[in-house]
Amino acid sequence: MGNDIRYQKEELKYVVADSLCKRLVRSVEEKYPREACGIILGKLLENNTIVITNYVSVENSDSEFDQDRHYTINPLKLYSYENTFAKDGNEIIGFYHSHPDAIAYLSEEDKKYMIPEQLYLILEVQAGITLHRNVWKKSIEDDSISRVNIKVKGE
Amino acid sequence: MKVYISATLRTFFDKTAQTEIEGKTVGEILKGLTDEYPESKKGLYDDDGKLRSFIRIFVNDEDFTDVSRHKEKLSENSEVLLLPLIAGGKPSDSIISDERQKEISIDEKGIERFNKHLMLREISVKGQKRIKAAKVVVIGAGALGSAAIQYLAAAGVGTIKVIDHDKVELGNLQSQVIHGARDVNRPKVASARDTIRNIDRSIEVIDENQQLTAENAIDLIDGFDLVLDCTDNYKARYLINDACILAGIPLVFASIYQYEGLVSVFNYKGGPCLRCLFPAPPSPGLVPTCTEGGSISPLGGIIGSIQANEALKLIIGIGEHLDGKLLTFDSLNLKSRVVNIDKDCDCPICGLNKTITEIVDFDYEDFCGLKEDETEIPVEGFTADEFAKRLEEEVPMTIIDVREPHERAILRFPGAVVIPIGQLARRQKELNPDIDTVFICKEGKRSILAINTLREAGYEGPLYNLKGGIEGMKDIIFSHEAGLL
Ligand SMILES: [Zn+2]
Ligand SMILES: [Zn+2]
Repeated sequence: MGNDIRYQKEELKYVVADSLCKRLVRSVEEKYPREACGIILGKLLENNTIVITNYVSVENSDSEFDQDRHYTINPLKLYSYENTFAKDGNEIIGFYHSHPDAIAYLSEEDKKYMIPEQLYLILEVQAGITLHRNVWKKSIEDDSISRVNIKVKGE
Repeated sequence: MKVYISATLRTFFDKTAQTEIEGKTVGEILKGLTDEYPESKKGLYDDDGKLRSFIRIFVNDEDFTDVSRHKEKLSENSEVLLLPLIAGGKPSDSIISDERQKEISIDEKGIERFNKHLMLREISVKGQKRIKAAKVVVIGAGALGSAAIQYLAAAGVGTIKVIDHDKVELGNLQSQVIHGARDVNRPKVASARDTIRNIDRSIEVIDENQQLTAENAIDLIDGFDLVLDCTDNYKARYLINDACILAGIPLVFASIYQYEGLVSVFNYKGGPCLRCLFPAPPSPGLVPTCTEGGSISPLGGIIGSIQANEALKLIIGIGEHLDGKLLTFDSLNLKSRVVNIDKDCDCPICGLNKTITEIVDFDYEDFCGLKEDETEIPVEGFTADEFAKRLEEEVPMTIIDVREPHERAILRFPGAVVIPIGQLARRQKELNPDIDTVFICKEGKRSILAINTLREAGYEGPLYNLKGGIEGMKDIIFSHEAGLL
């Protein structure tokens, strides 16, 4: 594996293209009132910057009944994705999911399943429109959770 | 055996994607992995040594995560996959259902009145509707209740029931700010009701001017969303805890004593309860009596307000809750802490083998003062002056202080040995039966209990009680300050 981005000791900066952001928001809104979920891919550039290169919408494997409040990504499904990403130089840098009609803060359930050093993007979708989004990260050092800033760049 | 490590977990394994580990079972392979990558232990296991929630282990497409499968012999040529489970959900913490929230409407006046709530994104219209839909019981319209009730009313809680059997006394006005001088001798619930009505006429107020008992407890809280324990005694606290669990209602607990307050949330989403913390109430003599209690005027306001704040967060469904946690606040030194409380699987009411399945009145009458018991031998004692004289003459004696640590912190008794009543029987060897032993507490009541406890345990040396306790000694201690302290 080339330059593994999760192993950078210095503070990382994140950027994403505005157009990519809009596409992701739209795909999440289409799933409303169900919870959307997926994988965020990125690449490490020089100067400790990670650019978000793409996202992959993944099927919510929870039962129909739970899909308005919960999401699960099947581990074997993730495994099969991992193999394809490695081929084109992208890496999984985190995950996203929506909170239909709820705020973009981590729920207890979210915190429970957070993998340290991965990004977790949460989108608050009220009545089908994304109002807010927050990105969170759990520290590998002490499991403390903090908010991450992502710079949105126009093209 | 071949082990594949998910890209999302490689941080724990020096970036390794694939490795070869000796082992025939999942258990052996996990052991081998953590031996080879010691750093990975922290990533794979929680503090209790269990695999962390997000870890999944698959062998040939089969889930082997559960510890029951870790000893199963794997076929050769298997590949072990170490994968994450990516999952979560939206916060759905409100105790008021969406259906009930949707039935509520807020008019123009409401928009004006609750503007400061509506401005907060986490509360907004939905949160305010939840508050209005909520039905809350406050037990006790004293110091804690004064603050809690008024803030719940001001926040817009739609239905508030106040339970209290007491009348307002002049001595209540020092801390019970829901009552005024004109309310003295009126039932506390009547005065509380008037105050709520003054804040917002549209609130439905139910005043119950009666004492909570084992018989009526469940009926009085049934059908409500939340209970606030604002009482000042253990009997009520256990009754309320038990009733809330049996009725399935979350409970915001608080208590104040002198300069300190406690707050917790019990019975919320299967979390711990009061009995998980203290399985049974302390026996009457072991805690300071009500008259020995007392608290600084604003303490009830501070702690009662935190209680109201916890209640509102549960209703709106936002923020962190004090379930599984106990907040302690020390107003004298301005120190506040949050300590974790574990659910006790042996808890008599919410544990695995419940021994309490209905509310029973335990023998806890006359809490404020020890119960008279004719069978007990009268206890000999010294008055403050007699005791002072013996101290001055340096008569050999052992002085045992049975007070609580916080009481001793305020007024230390020099030369006294500290033994809590609960340890007396066990530690009686520390006493010398050839000389007098004098017991001291704050008011001279707990020391009687201490003496009876020791006698019951078979101690035969001379035992004396300091009559009137340290309270009665105060002047003497202070006038002898140089010599005594
Ligand atoms: Zn979530
Ligand atoms: Zn319990």
